[in-house]
Amino acid sequence: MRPIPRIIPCLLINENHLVKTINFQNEIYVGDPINAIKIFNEKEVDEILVIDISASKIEKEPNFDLISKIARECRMPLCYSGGIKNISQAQTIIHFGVEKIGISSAILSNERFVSSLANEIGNQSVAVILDLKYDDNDKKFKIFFNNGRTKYHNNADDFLNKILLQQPGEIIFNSIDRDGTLMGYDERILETFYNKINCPITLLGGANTYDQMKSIAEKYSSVGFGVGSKFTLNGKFKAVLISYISKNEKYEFFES
Amino acid sequence: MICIIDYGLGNVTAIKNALDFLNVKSFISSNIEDIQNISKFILPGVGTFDDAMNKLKKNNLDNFIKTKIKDKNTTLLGICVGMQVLANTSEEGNSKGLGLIDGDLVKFNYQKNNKIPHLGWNFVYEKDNIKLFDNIDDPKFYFLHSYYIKNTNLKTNVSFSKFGEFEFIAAVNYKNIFGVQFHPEKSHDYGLKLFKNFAKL
Repeated sequence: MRPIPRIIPCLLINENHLVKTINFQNEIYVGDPINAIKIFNEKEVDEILVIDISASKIEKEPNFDLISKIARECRMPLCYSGGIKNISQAQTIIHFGVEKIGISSAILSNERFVSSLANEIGNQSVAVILDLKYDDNDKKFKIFFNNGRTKYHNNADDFLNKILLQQPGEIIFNSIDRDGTLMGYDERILETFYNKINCPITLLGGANTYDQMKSIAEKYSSVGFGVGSKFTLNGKFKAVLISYISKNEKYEFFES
Repeated sequence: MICIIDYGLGNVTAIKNALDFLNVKSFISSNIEDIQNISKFILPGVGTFDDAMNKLKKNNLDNFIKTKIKDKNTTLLGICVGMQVLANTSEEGNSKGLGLIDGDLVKFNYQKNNKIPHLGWNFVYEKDNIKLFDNIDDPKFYFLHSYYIKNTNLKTNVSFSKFGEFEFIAAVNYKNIFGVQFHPEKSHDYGLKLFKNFAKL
């Protein structure tokens, strides 16, 4: 029996608010993060990914107060990312009841961060988030850091190889091109990187149809589906509506 | 009254929340003096085997647990790494485990279509009767691990899960000791029912 893929709501936080972006820009206010978590609890979601986009500003500690409130409320596994620069911050966050730590920019200044963090909290709890933009000139994916502001100077492959050697527990590919667009996942990401990676992968950016998720799950195993706008906004006018795939829909799409 | 042992690893808060939701009395502690008279314990764990063992030893909790468990009226539930430290050894580290469950931890072998760690929701198949699963239909829980317990002796009751083609032990029970490889505190209703069953033991 093929396992049912993980479908993971992704919540973006700026200061204490839930926000949504398009291509990492044009932020709109969505609501209160704790309320969203409560609703997702009721809907029995598989797991949650919380990314604090304000925390990656220099010298700013992650918002421990908010993270601990979110963790306390969460009845499903939680991955937190945003502004984590050292092991002590990660340990504090794990102790709140967070299962996984997502890191990104920290690896730039500390190439061995994945390894050293894994030594403390276990490889299974270290997720690496890679924000990607497709370069039409080079016909290659480029990695960006600091919320899409800084481009990595080398090839994506180069960076990926460095972190794969350190055995992260998960790689989350976040497509800046598809972010907030509901245009579907960028499957070129899997075509480019899937075969190089030995740990579970999560796609994020552009989630729209379950058909696409099913078709991806049939071709690629161990891929999780991060979902932003689809589960937080609704309709042409982008009204805020927290939703999730129902149990029936899940079985219908992925069991048949 | 259940004591959730806080040795610096694992989501004590999530476990307390689950028990609070069930109206089961519990408290979090790392202080041996405070927990001498408690008879039901939960040992959580998110992290590495060595780190867990070191932290238990630092607080003298390793000896405390080994002694306390000899009392038949004591019951212990280990969760994830909290279960793994109950074993003899782990491939993940160099420390010796508590040796309360006869078994050793090994890493999942590479499988082409199943990437390690085993991450996500999965079904648990009961083989022997473990009271934790009473009245739970189609038990399903959240797993997040790269190591699993192997070679338990025949007196240990086990339940299984399947990772790809690979069947592995998902839960153990030996006398008054229980261990689950998955995270009931993050497994919605299934986890709540499991905690309820543990509370009722």
